[in-house]
Amino acid sequence: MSLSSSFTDFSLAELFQLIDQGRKSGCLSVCTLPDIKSAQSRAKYFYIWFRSGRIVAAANRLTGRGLVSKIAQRNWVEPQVIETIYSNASPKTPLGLQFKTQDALSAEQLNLLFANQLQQVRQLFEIQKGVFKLDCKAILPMSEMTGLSLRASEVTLMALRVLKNWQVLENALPNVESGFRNINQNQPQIRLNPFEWRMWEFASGDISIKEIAVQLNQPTIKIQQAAFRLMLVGLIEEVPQITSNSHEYHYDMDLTWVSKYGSRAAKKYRESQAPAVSSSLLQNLVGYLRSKA
Amino acid sequence: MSSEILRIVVTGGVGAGKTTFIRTISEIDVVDTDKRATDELAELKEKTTVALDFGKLTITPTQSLHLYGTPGQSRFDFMWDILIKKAHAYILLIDAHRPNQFREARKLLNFMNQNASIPELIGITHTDCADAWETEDIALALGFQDEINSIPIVTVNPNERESVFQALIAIVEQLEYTRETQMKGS
Repeated sequence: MSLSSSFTDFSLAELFQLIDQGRKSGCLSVCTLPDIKSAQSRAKYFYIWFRSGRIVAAANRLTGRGLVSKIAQRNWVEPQVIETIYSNASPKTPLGLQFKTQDALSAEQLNLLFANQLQQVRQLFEIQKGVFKLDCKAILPMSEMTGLSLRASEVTLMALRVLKNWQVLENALPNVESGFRNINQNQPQIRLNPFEWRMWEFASGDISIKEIAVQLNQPTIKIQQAAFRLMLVGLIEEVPQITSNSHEYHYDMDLTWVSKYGSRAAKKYRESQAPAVSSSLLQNLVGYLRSKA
Repeated sequence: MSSEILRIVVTGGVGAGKTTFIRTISEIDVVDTDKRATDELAELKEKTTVALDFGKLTITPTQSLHLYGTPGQSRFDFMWDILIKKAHAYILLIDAHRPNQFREARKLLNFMNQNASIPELIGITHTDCADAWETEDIALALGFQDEINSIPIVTVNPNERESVFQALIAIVEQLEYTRETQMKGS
């Protein structure tokens, strides 16, 4: 089974959320589209491997030598030793761990190698035009794995905190009129920064992003971006509100109760207005539909 | 003799198959309410100028099913307010090969979850397209992490009468279940 789209239709951030929450495994291939205005511009490929929603490796080619190249670049291990370990490596154990068990690399060095892979992944969030394909049947490449892993959502959170160009995510951001509600009963297990913690405290659904911006004395876009990050890590959901655009459609309903009582009161009002439906109608309808189906 | 009407709203993104869904089973030509308003539509339509597709099925001389298709680009405006008040249930159609619609669908589900307590059904369309996403992946994109917390999801071919009938049976059975639960609770 594979899953594919373009980043303009489904962003990398949303894709990582899906991979994390669906505990997906496999290989994500990312291809950036060349700039048609530049003759030198070419498509670039990148590959990220996941196990149960966690990133386990990343490389810009499928040769299986990305990790050993990084080790060699840093001059941490003699080239002959690298080749010996690589050639005799077990296909069942991450190569990074094999370097460590043979005392060729320290735990700290493995951490740095994995951080470098994640840094490359975080840069992908800047892509404005590109396509992706997730192959859930792909075999994990032990030769690219350090043995370390990190939740896809954590990587998203880190990437979006430092993201410079939000253009590709513009339509994904919550509406300024929307509120958001907490969908996580427990204290967040993910590492939030102080500003995200403050935002999370507003997750009642009753206060709009615009109003939060005023209360926190912050630009609305900063609130939208922080709310989006919390949405992606599964802590909150956007709660769209009925917009007051009556002038656009020339409605003449009395809608004062919407602004007066807010969405919760409106819900109760609606429930009280729901028209009754008899069991006879439902039974007759099911009978009718079954006879025609 | 007073008539009884069951109202179901069919919503979804552009090209998801809303109009086709209604047209496939409606006994009348599907009406674009912006072009022609009828008495039957008055209750939903009287105070709006928003276009809705309208289709109808007569069950008995006094009982009928009315289907209302929302415009493709739905904003959460006052049309939704009216729909929520008058509808007994809604079906959200999602095109499996248009991931750009999943985000809006998720917003709509959140909006309905917060503002209404009516039975809901997700109908996945265009599942035969080469780049269609699997239902389980669409469910994840909509924010459902497990089947228990998910609302019912079925695959629908809006062009096939039988498929549309099966989707309607699924939502009407939910209505029956909700009604029975409410009766026991009261």
